[in-house]
This record gives sequence, C-alpha cells and structure tokens, in this order.
Amino acid sequence: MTRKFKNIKGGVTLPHKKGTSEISTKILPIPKLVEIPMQQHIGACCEVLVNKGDYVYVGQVLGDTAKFVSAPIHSSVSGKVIQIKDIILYNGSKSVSIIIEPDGKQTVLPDISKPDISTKENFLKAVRSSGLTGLGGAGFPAHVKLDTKDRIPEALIINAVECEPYITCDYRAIIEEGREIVKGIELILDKLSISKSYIAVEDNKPAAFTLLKELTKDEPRIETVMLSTKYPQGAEKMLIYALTGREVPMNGLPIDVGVVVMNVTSVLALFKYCQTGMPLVSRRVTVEGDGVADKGNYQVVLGTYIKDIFEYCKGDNQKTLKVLCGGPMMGITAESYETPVIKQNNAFLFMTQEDLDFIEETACIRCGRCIDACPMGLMPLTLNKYALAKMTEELEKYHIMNCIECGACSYVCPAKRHLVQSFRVGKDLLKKAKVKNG
Amino acid sequence: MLKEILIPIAILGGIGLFFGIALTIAGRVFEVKKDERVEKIRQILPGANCGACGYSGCDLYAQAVAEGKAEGNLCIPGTNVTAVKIGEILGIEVETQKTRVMRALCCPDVSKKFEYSGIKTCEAANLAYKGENTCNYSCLGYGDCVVVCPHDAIMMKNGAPIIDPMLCTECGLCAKACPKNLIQYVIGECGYFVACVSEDNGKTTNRNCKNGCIACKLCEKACEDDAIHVVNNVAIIDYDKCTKCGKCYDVCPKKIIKKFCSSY
Repeated sequence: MTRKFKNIKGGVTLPHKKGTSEISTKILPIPKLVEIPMQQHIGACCEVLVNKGDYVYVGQVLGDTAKFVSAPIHSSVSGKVIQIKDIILYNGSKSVSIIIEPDGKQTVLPDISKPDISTKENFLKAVRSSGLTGLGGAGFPAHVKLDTKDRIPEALIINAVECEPYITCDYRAIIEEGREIVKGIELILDKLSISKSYIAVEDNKPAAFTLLKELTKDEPRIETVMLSTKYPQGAEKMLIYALTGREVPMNGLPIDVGVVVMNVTSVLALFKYCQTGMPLVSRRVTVEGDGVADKGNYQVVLGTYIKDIFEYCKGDNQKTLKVLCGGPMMGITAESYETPVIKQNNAFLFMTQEDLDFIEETACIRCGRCIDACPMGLMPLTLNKYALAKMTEELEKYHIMNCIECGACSYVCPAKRHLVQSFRVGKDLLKKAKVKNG
Repeated sequence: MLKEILIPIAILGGIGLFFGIALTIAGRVFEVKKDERVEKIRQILPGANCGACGYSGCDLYAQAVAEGKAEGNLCIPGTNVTAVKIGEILGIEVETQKTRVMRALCCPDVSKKFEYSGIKTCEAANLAYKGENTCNYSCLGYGDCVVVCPHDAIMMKNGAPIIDPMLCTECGLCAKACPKNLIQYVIGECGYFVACVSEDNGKTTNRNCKNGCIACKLCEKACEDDAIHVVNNVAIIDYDKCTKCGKCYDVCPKKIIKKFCSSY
C-alpha cells in the first residue's frame, strides 16, 4: 500500500482473538422451535400479519409496517404459527414475537421469484422487500441508507473492517463468498450510478485483503484498501474519517459527506436476494468463547434460540456464565438461553469465569483516559456524572446523543466505571425530558 | 482656602440633588406595581422549594397563585392549613385536598431471571430487560426513591420501600423517581389499598410472583359498594365509593389488599 490513511481520533488497541477465522462455516440444523421478534431493526416496530394456527412458508412476510424507517420480517422456516406473545426487548421496550413450529420440509413460498431491479426505484423497492438491515450490528434498514434521493454519492464504502475481537463472520463471508460480494458491489454501483467504491479491510486480515484485491483487479471502480488495526474503526463515522478525512456532521448521515457505507455481509445478502428473490431468512454468526467446545461460524436461520446453538456446539452449562449477542465491546447480554437470533446478531460469545471479571466500580479519579479513548471527542467522565445525577440539560450540552456506545471509554477506565450503561440511561432520560417538554 | 473647600462641596451637592430629584421622578413614573398578596402568600408557604406543586420553588408558586394561574391547594408539604390560609388572603374558597398517604404498591416475592451486575440504580436496571426480577412490574429494590427523599422517610425492607407517614410530606419526588410507577397516593385517613400493579394475566403473574394480583375478581364480587374493579388484570379501588368495610381484604386469596392508616 502506498496510500496513507488518516488515523481515527481516540480509539483503543484490542487483542484480536480471531481464533475461528480459519474454520469454515457449518450449517446449523433447523431447530424444533423458532421465535421471530417484530423488532429487528432501528425504527418502527412491525405489525403482525399472520394469525395463530396459520401455516407459513419460508420467505413469507410475517410482519410489516407502512413507516419508512423499517424493514419487513420474513419467516425463516416453513411450519405452523403456534403462539404470538409479548416480549421485552433488551432495552426494556415492549414488542411482539411469533413462535413457529417448523415442519422440517423448508417449503419455499411459491410466489418467490427474481425481483425486478431494472430501474433505481424498483431496485430500492426490492431492497426494502428483501427485509435487509445493516448486518454489521446496528440494524439500520438498508433501503433507507441506499435511498439518497437526488444526491448521488461520490463513493460507496464497503465495511469489512470487523474491528471487534472474536468476530470472524465477515471474514469468513469474504473468504467463502468473495466473488458474490464483488458482484454485489458492482450491482449497487450500477443501480445507484456511483463511480467509486472502497472495500476497507484491517491489516489483521491479510488473506481477505489479498483475495479481494485479486477478485477486483479487473474492476477499476472498486479499490481494496488496508487500514491499520484500531477499535472502533468499523463504526461508520470512524471509517468515513479514516478513508476520506471527512467528518459526518452532528445528527447527520454519511450521505451528507457524500458517501454510503454498507457492511460486507449486507452486500452479500442483497446480491443473493437479487439473484434468487429469497429474502433475508438466515445469516452467518460466529460462535466463540470457552463455554462451547465447537467454536466457529455457523449459518443459522433467524429465530433460532441460543440454546439450540449452544447444544449443537457442545456448550458446557456449568462453565458458561454470560452470553453476549455481538462482540465483547458492544454486544448485548442475552436475557436467557431462550433469546432468538435476530438480523443484527453477528456473534454469540459464551463467556466463562476466566473471560469475565466482575470488578466493583470505584470513584472516578478524573485521569481523563476516557477522553483520550473517545473516538467521538466527548467527555465520558462528565457525561457519566451528569447521567447519574439525571441532569438532562447538561447532558444535551455535552452532546450525549453523539455517543456511539463503542465502549472504548469503559475499556480504558481504571476505576471500572459503567460508563456506557450510564450513557444509555442518560440518553433515555434526555429522550423522556424532550417528550415531556414538547 | 475656604473657596477650595466650598466649590467642590457645592458641585457634589448639586450633582447629588439633581440625581436625587431625577431618581425620585423616575421611581414614580416607572413604578412596577407589586402585588402585596404575593409576599403574604410566600410567607405562609413552607419554603421547602420541593417542587411538588409543579413550580420551581415557593416564590414562583406564590406568584402563580396570586395571578390566578394556579390552584391554591397545590402545596403538598403545607397541607390543607396552607390551602385555607391562601384562600383567606385571596378572598376565595380553596378546595381542600383529601387526606392521602404515599404507599409503594408492591410487596415482591419474586425470583431472578438473570444476575444483574451493572449500575446499582432502578433507572439503569429497568433499561436492561425491565430489571432482573421475573415480574416486569415489580420493585427493583435499588432504592432510587430512598436516595431522592428529602425527609428520610423511606427505607427498603424485603425488597420494597416502606414509607413512614410521620416523616412523609407527600411531596411526590419518590413517585417521580420510580421507573415502575409503583409509589402512588392512596386516599383516606385509614383504609385499604391493592399492593400490586402487574398488568400481566393471572397465570403469568402467579408464575412470576407469589404476592401478585391474579385478577380473580373475588374482591369485585365481595364488594357491596361497587368500589373495586379489576382493570387490565389488576384490582383498582375507587376511593370515592369505598366505605372501608374490609370485605375485599378478607376475600383476597393472595393477601395483597392491605390496610393503611395515615398515622402509622
């Protein structure tokens, strides 16, 4: 590489722990029961479109809403709807989920056919009906991201950074289905008439870089770039800064600085949909942690319970203390083994006593390491103080809403303060205060 | 010599006289009419600046009452005594509030869904799957209400707050701090209240908590005054109709209808 890229502000250097990167993806068998929640994306919750007792096919729409920022949810199995129940999501909000008993035949919905993607409008419509959301972890509906209205983005950035430790599902996707990914990128470039695309890979994944370089050598529009390893470089705003030097404005979107960022797995899913018409019903997840014996990447149908993955991977119930949905930095702890796999889950980490340390939090010593680590240039120690004191005006003044909850501050904090959790509380308080004051 | 002293005195005296007259005239012309009732009302208010009336401080509340923007009975620490005095000052009749006490409507007997190791406040715990208790409506027990109480009237016992009516001034700060909305007013000198707010159906509530309202409607049938009804799977007492006969208390199979008295 001759080009020099910017270093992101702040951030931390983490151990890579990509132990599953050389294990090829296996397919998890269809479980006995699947549970499909109606909220698997940022935005409006979907309304249930099926009734108890209905027979559903693979790819049939189970829930949808007329709101723009949303994505339809499809059945991942064929079988009978046995229950529609109320659930509590990880953030305490209420939602509904549909429980389906699969018949094991995986009968595909007869209507499924290759979508019409002749024009840009039809393409965006197809993206929405594919139910695709950002598969990197945020779950932002893909059609909202790609619908740039009359602005034509200067560049499409493909995020293959995968900066969190343990997770290797994007890497395996590149190694196993690199050709499809490149075709998917070409498809998006054609449909949205974008002239340039960058695939960003961190330098701890040289095999992926070499492969992508090889696959794109005849395509001048796509450039594969290697970035130095740093967390949280995979965050959308950080990646844009590292590649282009541009900063996304506050409350803005990447399109405001002329780029669109997509995760590499999302591109793959989109390409597969355009080829077959089969919506997003399964995904690749990394199963890691010392709680399971068979680590690796698995292709699972959405709605599979964690306990099914746990059993299939020969999990040890005595050793496992905590199950993380996502990476160790930003992952959300699962409530129980009866938590289903949703679209944005890229990894399940079965943590044991050795991986975790429950250190009591102590007083802030105002060392300022969190300020150095914050990639967004915030002051975590001040925000923490105000969030715990419920001072919403000050929280807004110190821009708590800009926090991307990457966890870099909590990682470096010598007092082990629960910084990110306090920011979640603070954001919730600020939202409530804004509703109250109109 | 004398001249050197007299001239400055004359100049300074002149300036003083000029400004004195000017300020007096200005004071008369631009006088801000002050409502003397505001000052009187302010003096009878307790001065706790608790904010329970909805205004940030006693000064602003006094002003709002005098201007007729607020009711005269909103001062909770001042009780009805203040309300009557405000009525006298304003020359109007102020409707007095009914006697009421604050009670926590939960006596949890729950098990845990998972072990929570985050920030030890109810607000934070509530954001993680609605807390670690099996019942999503139950008291989380981290004591946000205890911390916020300015009168030290609350203590945690058996996982739920106990409010001392002798210390409580009913300012309502604890009710605002509770993310589960468990602390509510119960009306009357003495009487009964339902110590559960779970809107889950009876089966779910019974599985989640041993002390939960299972919506069996026995109280509704036992009540002769049509004062207790099961709404959204939880019994609610209408204090306007309740005659405090105690029949609901006797029939409740879960013993979650409890007695209260404002004096102990």
